[in-house]
Amino acid sequence: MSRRGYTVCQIAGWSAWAAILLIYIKLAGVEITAAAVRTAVLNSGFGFAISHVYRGMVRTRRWTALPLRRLAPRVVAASIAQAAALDGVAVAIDRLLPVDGAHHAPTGILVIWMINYTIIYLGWSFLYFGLHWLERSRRAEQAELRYLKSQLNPHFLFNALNSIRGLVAEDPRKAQEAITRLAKLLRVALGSVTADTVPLARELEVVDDYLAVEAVRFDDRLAVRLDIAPDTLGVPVPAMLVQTLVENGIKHGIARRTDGGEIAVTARRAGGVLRLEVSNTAADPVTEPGGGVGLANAHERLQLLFGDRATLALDRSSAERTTAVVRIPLG
Amino acid sequence: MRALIVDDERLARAELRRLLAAHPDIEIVGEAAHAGEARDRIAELVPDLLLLDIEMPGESAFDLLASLDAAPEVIFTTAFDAHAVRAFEVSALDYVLKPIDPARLAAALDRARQAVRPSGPAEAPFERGETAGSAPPGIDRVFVRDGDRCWFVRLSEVAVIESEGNYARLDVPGQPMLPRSLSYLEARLEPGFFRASRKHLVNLRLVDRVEPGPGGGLVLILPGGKEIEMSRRAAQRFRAKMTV
Repeated sequence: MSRRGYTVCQIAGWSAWAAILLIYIKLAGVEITAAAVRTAVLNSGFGFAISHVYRGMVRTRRWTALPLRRLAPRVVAASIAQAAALDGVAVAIDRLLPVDGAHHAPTGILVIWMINYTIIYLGWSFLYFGLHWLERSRRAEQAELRYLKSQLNPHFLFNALNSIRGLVAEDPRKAQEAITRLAKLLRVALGSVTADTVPLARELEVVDDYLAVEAVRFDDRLAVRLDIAPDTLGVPVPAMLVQTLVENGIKHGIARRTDGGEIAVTARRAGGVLRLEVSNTAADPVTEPGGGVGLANAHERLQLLFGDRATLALDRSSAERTTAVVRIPLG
Repeated sequence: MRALIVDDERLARAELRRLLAAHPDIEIVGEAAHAGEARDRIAELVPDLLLLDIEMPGESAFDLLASLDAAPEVIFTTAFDAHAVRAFEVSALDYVLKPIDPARLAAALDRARQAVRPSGPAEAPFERGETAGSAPPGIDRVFVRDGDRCWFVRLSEVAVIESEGNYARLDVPGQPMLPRSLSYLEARLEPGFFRASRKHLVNLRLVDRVEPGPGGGLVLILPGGKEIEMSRRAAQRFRAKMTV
């Protein structure tokens, strides 16, 4: 939690407590006098101070790192200790500065106060550790997204560099072009931490660069067909998603065929969803079940970004072509 | 040394050719773009050395090698494959990473040259008897696999090959199996191997000593104490072979 967030929560919380105290006093049939306000402010002020000391201890002892079963008894004990401290303070205030003339609070009420304070401090801890936990899981999710974000496959990268090395002697101009394409691709892949989604048009530029580099490697063994409806170009898609699917299709399909094959990408709007299809000539025979890690990661990333309404499925019902079908909800 | 380049990418093959140009003793006898083509070229050209890409369409490089009777020297080439590289390391196979570092390639070629250079005359006790015939040199180097591990075995270093169903088990560390029958191997091995029994092909060069066995047979004692019993008939064949 940020320092500012903590301060705001503390002030808001303990101000609310002061207000509640005043309501109590009113309900007890006592006039809200300056003395009553003073008592409420002092009480919540000391409550604040005690919890602040507690927070300091939580931080130095790193309680946020404890597992729940070790944290819970510590929190209960700490809440009772804080409540006892505040109870002591409340009694002192009551004795020194009674709200209602000479009347002191009866001993019985001290027990009630103690219970109240314990509940307050338990609630305080619940909020404090709950917010910490939420923040941590949000950070974990972001880290997961970053991790899942398709990095370029090193196998692709080194093969591409090898082909380009060959091309340098053979056709320097083509080699220059390939290096430029590879550089553009690397810029996106290395910098793609910044945006989770990009318009489809941008993603297709990446795919174009990727295919240009693969074309060097595969020569005439790789054919490409794009069929993109113009009204889909602005739709946000997960960065590097189509690239991952195309790379997957080449790796598991075209690269395994001695005579190569075709990669086809189509995009359509249909019934409130963007329907993306990446299909490739299937390897013969189909050797691996499922689509491997790349596809699993893409699927998980899609779900993290768009929830359950986004889907990714691999259609291998045809012996000739394998098709990855992505559905992303529009708007 | 006669070399065959096997890689599915034309540019990768061209790049290897250029790199090999710096080694005039390496004669590139041909190229192949996949395992099937490589098998034909190997049968036809009998290269001493394969420069072999691991990732090829269809059959893998390892499938290709396992299908060969006799394996040439091999330098594997690979772009990057953590899995394959690990396999190389546990198996002590020679590989170069793409893009290929010329110095690394030169070192691998040096090792291949040393391996291919014919070894000096052997001094094993049975040498004279066995080379009396004019049989051509048989299979010596084979490629074996055991799960993830794969390696080459020189049959001249194998004391006994044992039949195990349709497979032949090589008596070397790891006890690898060849997918060949004993009769198939017997017909193709160098003549130093002797069919001592229905189940055993024994490398006579590595036999420690011969002792008389039960029923007029003989017992071959191998290094490490392993004994192979020969029937009377096998013993007769053995005596005949040794006195030619």
